[in-house]
Amino acid sequence: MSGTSAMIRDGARQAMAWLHGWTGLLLGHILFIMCLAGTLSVFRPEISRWMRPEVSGQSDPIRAINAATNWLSANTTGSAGWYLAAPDGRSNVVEATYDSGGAYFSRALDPLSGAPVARDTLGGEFFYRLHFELELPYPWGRLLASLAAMLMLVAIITGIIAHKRFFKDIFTFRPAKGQRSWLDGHNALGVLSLPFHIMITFTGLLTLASLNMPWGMTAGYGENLMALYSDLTPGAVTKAPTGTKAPLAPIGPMLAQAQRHFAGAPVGRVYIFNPGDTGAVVTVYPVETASIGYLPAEISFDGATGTVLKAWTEQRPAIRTYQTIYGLHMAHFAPLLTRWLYFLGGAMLTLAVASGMVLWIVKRRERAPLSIGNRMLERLNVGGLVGVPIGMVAFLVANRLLPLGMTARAEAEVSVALWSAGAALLLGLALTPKLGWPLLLGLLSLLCVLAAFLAPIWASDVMLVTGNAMLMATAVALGLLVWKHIRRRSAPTPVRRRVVPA
Amino acid sequence: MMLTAGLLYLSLFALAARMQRHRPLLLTTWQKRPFVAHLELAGWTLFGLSLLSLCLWQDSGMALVAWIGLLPLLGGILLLGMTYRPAIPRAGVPIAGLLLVAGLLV
Repeated sequence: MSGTSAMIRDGARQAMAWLHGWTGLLLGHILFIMCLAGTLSVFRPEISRWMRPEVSGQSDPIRAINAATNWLSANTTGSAGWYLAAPDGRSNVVEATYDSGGAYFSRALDPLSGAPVARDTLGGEFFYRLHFELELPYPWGRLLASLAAMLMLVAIITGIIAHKRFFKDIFTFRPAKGQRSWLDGHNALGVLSLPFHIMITFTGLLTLASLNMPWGMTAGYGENLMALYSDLTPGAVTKAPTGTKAPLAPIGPMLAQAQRHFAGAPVGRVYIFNPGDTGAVVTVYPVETASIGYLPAEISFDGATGTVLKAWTEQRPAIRTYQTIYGLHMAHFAPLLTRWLYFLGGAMLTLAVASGMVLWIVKRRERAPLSIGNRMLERLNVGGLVGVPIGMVAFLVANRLLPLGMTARAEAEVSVALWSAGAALLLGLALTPKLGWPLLLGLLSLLCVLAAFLAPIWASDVMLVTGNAMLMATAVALGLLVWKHIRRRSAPTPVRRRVVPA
Repeated sequence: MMLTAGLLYLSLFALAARMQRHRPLLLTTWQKRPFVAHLELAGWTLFGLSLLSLCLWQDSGMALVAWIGLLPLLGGILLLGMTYRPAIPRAGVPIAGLLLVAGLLV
């Protein structure tokens, strides 16, 4: 009986190991992009700050929103809405999305003057969008990201079941032993941070649930999305524009009143609908940092008179549950130390995915010569696993090198990132892996140094200095990796001899 | 945070030291002491206590998130230390002990 159950157990383990390998392999490169971009997104406002070194002024949220609305009033025509995110301790600009003369803009506005910042860039928003949209048009990027997240959850669960010595492997790493080292590394990265991996994958999947499981919504609301929206946000005030012009009432007193309404919580976002019209509405939301589950609350004012139209705080348990799950994934609540722990967890997940991709090849090469498919995959690993970070660092370098007055500058930065990653991918496919790995890793290391030195390296802003230090640390680590790789290649290969027993 | 981090590190150290492979590196001359036989129990108890200590935080939700983050950090220190500089994880034990005491006092 025990023999049969052991056979079943081993068979199940093998099946799980097979599923773990294939689910990881199928969208492994997509997962790598998502994990790396997601890890960097933990510091989205800080990266944006690094990418706009000219903005050194810090202003309180109310004054910054005031300056932004003054500038927008004077410089936009026929707007349907201004959507503003106030600066906080991490971000030092007003992130504004608005329309003017039929065109849509997304700009960072100076907190003191309210005018757009000279260096037009997406900043950390690029990494954030890349994380779940993958630079693909809606909804394809999000659908692909959802599918990849589902496969990752399957890979995590099957990985746990397939793992024979789960707890022993937490503490075991044997370097310089070929396949054994890759397996140890992959296991340790996966197991040490397992609670984080499960939490971030599950919550990430649920943030896109409305897209990948829309049937509940369609069953309840059909095509009537407005009814769904008004049920979801019963505090929202919608007014059609009257066509009669009226200046926006002073926004400062509205924001101060909103802050009092939110029990002192600072203003986070301000949406102004129909600005310059008697039908203008100003809706204010508090910051999202008070707790893990962001508690939706809003207060709306008549934009022409400044009187309160409606105030509302979310109390429904289902929505609060969703907000907690969403908040866990976004980590807006997290204080500095917890953000670094999120970053560490994300980096370990990224490395677990990458090491799994490499392990697939290493394992098969030690058994027999690689098939054509696996040889292609090996080269794709070189181009993909190093090409993606090359594209990301090229984005930072482009931020420093592109002229400030250039038209569509932010888009040009993204183009540089995508073209660089594409070129690195092609190079990885063209070169033999023995040459491709050190060459592309060396290039990545040099790009990191370049990005750090093109920045004001000893700036007074601690975020600039930290960004530069991180780039330099990455460059040094990659440099050491390349040096070790080259040294190993130049060392004579030991000849393996079979020991014949006497 | 200090109490949780101290308990978690000590638990991971005990769990690693219970394994034959890591015992010489982590326990050096203490390998033959009688307490070695109880390291597994001690390790899991400390692990449980580190989770229980989250109740002492003001916001236990945030505490749990921090614990989830501390696990790879402290485990990573132990793992890399054992591989490259065994003195580091050993030095971590008195530091964790100090954190534990400081956490209890504060």
